[in-house]
Amino acid sequence: MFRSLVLVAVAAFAFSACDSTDDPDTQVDLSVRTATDVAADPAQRNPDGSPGTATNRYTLYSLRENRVVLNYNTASRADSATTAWDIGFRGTSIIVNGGTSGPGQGQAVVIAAPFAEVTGVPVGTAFRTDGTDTCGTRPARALCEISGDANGFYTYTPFTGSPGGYITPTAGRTILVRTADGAGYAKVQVRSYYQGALEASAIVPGSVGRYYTFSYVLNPSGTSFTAAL
Amino acid sequence: MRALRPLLLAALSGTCALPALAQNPAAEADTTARRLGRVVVTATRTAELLEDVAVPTTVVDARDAEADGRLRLTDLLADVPGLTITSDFGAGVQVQGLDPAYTLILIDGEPVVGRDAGVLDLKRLAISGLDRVEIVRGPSSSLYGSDALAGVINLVTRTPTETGGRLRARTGTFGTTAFTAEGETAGTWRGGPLGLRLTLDRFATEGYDLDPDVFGPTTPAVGESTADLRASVALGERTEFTLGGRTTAGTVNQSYGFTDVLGATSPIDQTERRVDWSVHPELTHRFGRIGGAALSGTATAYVTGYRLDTDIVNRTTGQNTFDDRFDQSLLKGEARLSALWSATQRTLVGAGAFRDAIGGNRYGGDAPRQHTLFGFVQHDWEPSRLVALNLSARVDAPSAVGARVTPKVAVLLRPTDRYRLRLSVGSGFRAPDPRQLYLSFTNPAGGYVVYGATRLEEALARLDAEGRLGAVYVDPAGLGAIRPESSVALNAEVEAEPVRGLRLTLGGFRNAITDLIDVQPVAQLVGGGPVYSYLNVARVRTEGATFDVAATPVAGLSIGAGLQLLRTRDLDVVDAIRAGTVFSRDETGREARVTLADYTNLVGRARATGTLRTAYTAGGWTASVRGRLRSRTALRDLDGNGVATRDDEFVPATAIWDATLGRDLRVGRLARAARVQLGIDNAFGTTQPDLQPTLAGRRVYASLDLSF
Repeated sequence: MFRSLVLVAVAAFAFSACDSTDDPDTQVDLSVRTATDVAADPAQRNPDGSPGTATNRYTLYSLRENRVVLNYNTASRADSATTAWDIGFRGTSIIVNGGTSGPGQGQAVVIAAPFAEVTGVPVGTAFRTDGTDTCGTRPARALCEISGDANGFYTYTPFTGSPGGYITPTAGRTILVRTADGAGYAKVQVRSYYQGALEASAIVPGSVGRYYTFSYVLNPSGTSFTAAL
Repeated sequence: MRALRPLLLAALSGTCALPALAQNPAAEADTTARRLGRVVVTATRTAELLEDVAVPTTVVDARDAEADGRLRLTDLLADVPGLTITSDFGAGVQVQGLDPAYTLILIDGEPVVGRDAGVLDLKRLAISGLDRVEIVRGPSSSLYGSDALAGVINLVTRTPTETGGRLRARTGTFGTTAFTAEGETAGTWRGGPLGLRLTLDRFATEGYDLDPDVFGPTTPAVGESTADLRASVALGERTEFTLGGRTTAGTVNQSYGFTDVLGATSPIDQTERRVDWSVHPELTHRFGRIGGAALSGTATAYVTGYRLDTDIVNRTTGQNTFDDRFDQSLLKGEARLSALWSATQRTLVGAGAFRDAIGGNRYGGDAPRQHTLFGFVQHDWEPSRLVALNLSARVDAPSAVGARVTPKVAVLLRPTDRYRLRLSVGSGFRAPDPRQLYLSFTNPAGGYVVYGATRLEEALARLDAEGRLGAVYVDPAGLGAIRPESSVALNAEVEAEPVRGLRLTLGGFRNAITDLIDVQPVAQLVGGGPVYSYLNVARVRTEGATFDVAATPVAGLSIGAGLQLLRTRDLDVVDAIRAGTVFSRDETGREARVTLADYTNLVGRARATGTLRTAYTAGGWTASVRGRLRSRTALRDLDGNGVATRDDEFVPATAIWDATLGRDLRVGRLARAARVQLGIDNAFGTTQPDLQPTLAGRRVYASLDLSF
């Protein structure tokens, strides 16, 4: 099988789109960061032992600080009305801090390009906003919660010979996020939806889902994801 | 005799049933086959010489399959080049790269019911009592209607022609036992021939466990009992009555660990009990010459039923978590009239109706019933020895979906007696099955619901009224408007017999299928669980080439080999690959663009499959060796791109070798003939527990066969 040999370092030589906010003299950390096993409201066990419904609360994450700002299991949602978080996870739903989801200027869009090849936000990228941009007849959101959708990040595949199915990030779908402060941009690659950062081949019936592992590159003040030469 | 035109042959066959009016195909085969070669009935619904049929047809003699140690229909079909046995929802058969739902399974020309998710479990069908199995490739909806899209497999029973009996017993690995008792009698009744035949068959296996670390055996314990009765009687010189009856009762016992979404596993015992039965009376009358044509008519009734009871018990709690019943019945009547106008022109017309009813826990209180009216016409015309044309068309008008017309044209060219060229263009269709129309299923554990297309609108309204409906993903205006899946197919084949005892066949096929029905999420429950229904979504193309060799270099030795190359693609995925939006991702997260060259096949299809069979008979000994080879096969999609590209998305290539050794014995007055057989299946013990759990390890068996 043909495999791309394009590495991030090589991609640095490639075209990158910049806007006027880019300042080539500013030293920013454009290394790939990884968040592992971010719990996205996993299922809870009912008193009778059966798997039950989750809390229906999002886990809010700051890409700028690379940490969870507000966990799903914190009942008080006061921190959600701030611009401290950029992106939120609950099951297969992902929100960004803007529009109907938060007070920030966050936006997002999915583009069909390998994570490593995305050297910057392409010129003319049409970012989407929660509550404004539609997902067919599903709730309007920047990132659609639809398997295989062009604005979604995942594909649902039924298990062969077992009930249920599994969620895998769709290959070659990179999420571009504008941070809540409106100044920075990130490219995000979801790596796993399962606890233990399971790669797709390791998922079996009973693998515990609703845990995000993702890689990202953040430019806090611009649209380029490659170091200036 | 070879130069005789087949239709002329029909005209000359005198008091024997006209081939055009094959009311008793098996008897026809027995009387004609010995003189003129093999007669088949499935491709044109008339008895014809196999070599003169214009569509690709394979015939497997049940006695050959028995000599190879085959017991069930799955075993027999696995040896046929180009056919692949699948293992999802029971053992189905993949023809020309299409799923089991697209091949019609018949017994003496009438359909077997009881499909689960479109798959008829072929392990239910014993091969004892059969004369042969005919496999017609390419669509035959122009004669058979729905489901005959990839092909038709017709189990032709043996007609009672003599008085005698037979006992067979077998024992083998994994506690597998088989026992068959057959008895038949041929006599006269009011001066005409009368035949009766009864076959009793029992098959049982304990299953096997490829991975002792995992709770429960890999495959279930299975027991199947079959009784089959065939009777034929002449009612005067021109009229014949045949009666077929069959019933199978089976159990499947499985234990496995059920793992919930939080990873906790509990031991489950699952029991399935299934019963099917059918009654098939048929009356044929030769009217003689009327208005310039030799006329013959057939009236057929067919009644069949199927019932499946499934119980799932949690061994820890003792709780019965699932108690499901499924019923299906089919009631069908059909009349056919055949007119032989001359030695070169023949017309067959037929019409009838059937009622398909289903019931059970998953289908709501009222048992859904679908009525279908149908009619078909076929004309055979042989302008010359070189060319034979077969034109056919059928209209089906089901009550649940719109009427459908399916035409087909087939041409046979015979430049010389040694060469045959077969070319056919036809359309096939598959009406939405009962599950896709009527299902109303709530998963007790998974928190999802599934509704058939006709139930969806009402179900969504009800969920909405109950305050349980969240988002709706599909346009409500389009709900319930489900169309049949349909195909256009081309089949071509060149057959050559360059020297006596050597036959080469080269074939090619292409199927373009539209409106494939798939289960899709259409809405969301308030709690987040999905609502699924069935929608027309996909377009698929399957195309391939086949190459077959059959040789008998010396008396008693037969060698056969077949190869199929296959390409099956989802055309929407092809469009996406062309647009450059399909990527793969390896285990390290590295992504690459998928090219069309990377995309060979849908999941479950091998690019190349092959079969080999060598058998030698001499001095009372019979030996056979068979091989089934399969190239690496797309198994699953791990990176969400809908295409198998990663190595771990494939099953590696496999080669499975079986062998038998048989010896005829003299047993004096005890029996007329006796034979013992030793056999080994999967001689090299190839297994792939994770990827192919139905691939059992090495199995040996011994059998005894007595004829009286």
